[in-house]
Amino acid sequence: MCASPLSFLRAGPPPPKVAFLSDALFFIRTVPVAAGAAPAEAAAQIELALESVAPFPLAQLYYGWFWTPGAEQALVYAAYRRRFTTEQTAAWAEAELVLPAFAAVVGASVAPATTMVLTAPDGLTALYWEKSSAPARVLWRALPADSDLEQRAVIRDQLLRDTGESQRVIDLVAPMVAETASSEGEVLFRAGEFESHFNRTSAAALDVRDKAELASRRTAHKRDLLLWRVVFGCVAALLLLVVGELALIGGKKWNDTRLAKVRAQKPTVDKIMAADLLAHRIEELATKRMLPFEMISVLLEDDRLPPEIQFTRVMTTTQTSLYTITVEAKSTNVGQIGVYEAKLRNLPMIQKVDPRIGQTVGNTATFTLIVTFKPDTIKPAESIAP
Amino acid sequence: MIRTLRAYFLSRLLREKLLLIGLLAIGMLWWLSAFGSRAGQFWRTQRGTTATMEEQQLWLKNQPAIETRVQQSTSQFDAGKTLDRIKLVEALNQAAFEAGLRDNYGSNSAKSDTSDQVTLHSVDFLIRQADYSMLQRFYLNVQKRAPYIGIESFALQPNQADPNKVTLSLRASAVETIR
Repeated sequence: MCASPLSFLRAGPPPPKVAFLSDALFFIRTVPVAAGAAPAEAAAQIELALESVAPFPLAQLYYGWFWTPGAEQALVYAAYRRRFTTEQTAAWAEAELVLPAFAAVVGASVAPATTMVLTAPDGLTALYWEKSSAPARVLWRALPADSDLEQRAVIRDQLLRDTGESQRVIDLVAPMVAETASSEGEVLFRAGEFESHFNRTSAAALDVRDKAELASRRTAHKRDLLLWRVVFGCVAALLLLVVGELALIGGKKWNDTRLAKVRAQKPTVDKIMAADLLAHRIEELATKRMLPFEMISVLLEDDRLPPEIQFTRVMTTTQTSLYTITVEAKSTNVGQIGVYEAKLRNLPMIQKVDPRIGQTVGNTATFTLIVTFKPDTIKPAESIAP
Repeated sequence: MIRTLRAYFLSRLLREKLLLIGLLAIGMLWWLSAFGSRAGQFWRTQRGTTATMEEQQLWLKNQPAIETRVQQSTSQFDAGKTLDRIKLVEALNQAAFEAGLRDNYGSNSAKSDTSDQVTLHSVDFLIRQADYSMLQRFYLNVQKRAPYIGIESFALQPNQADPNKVTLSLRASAVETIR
């Protein structure tokens, strides 16, 4: 039966892949670093110091170092590149860190004057901490392939004597193993209860691989982190969209409830609106009267209508205004339209005359006059002059 | 879980990373576009509903005032003199007859608007090919019945062939109080 496809999520992130190299291949020194040096300055000083003590140029070495900011010395280690086969170095491509086995313990918090003894199949490595910041000496002794416990104890004692006066000796029989650290920027090695912590910068300096290659790996890592952030952003946006969809579903249900209320109220509201319109019309009917013939009389009386102009249609409706009359007319003399308009405009009861010329053929034109009277200036007539 | 996913993602090949980002980005943009369209539509709908509800609330709030207004405006009429639709047509016919018009007029019923207390009847009245003076008399006869008969629209059109003959169409309305 297959495991759940998400079982790897429950397992947590995998530990970093670390390639441990034999301590036997490295020569190890402590080199001075100027007090107060910045990490970049310290790196330059360490490389310069290594170049002066190493039997080969740096380009022919795999090297790394351990230095803590503020410390006045660094532990450097280097190995001649030709001591590693092509197959070995090819396998490093998969590793996040490549370092000698002893380097995994140098990040531990150790009391001053402590010696730590690491046991490997091919030899013993002793690290001596004079102060607590970093080991002051690292020594390695080979173990014969067929050595028994007694022989090993003798070699160990000799190694401890060579290392110096120690107040405390820690024996690490089990090898250090890389584990998942609690925070992102940390690298953790553990052997039983013993832990060694490094931050990302220190861990990068421990790596012995070609520094240019490591720089390109760091660039690729930065690019991958950027891509991860893009993925994370996309996933976050998708989650937000899910939340948005849920909100939209809820919002639609809420709006449907409101629409049902609107539909339920509509007959009542329509009735009220009709009543309002009715009240308006009845009020108008009771208090105001449309006086179309009286308005026509004003347009015609005192011979103010030129004989060239003939009305073709006269209209008025309460929907526009009680006091507005629309006259469609034609004139055989276009000039007379303006004359007539001026006469009307000068009448005291007229508020506005709006002429709109339609089609003209020669001197004949059809036009519309929209005449608006001032309210209450026209009185109902008892009789109207023909 | 995020650290695990992150480690899993970082351990993939670059082309797999780019493929995943491409698929996620396309899916996200597609969804975002569709969601934006639907969200916009929902926003407009709900704003429309809000506006309609506010308008309805305003009308409902004003209902007592409008009913009072209808009552007050109706009270200006003597209930005994108000006209129903038939009486309105009769009154218009009588005004036409008294003006000397014969057989060249007619009417059509327009819609009536009703509330609980009052009905407003409207009638379209048409007089064809009449003398202008007769139309004036008809008009004065109608106006004598004001405010029980009112004119809502009025159109006068002279005959093109004979300018002395004129066609009048008007919409007259009358209030009928419900006793």
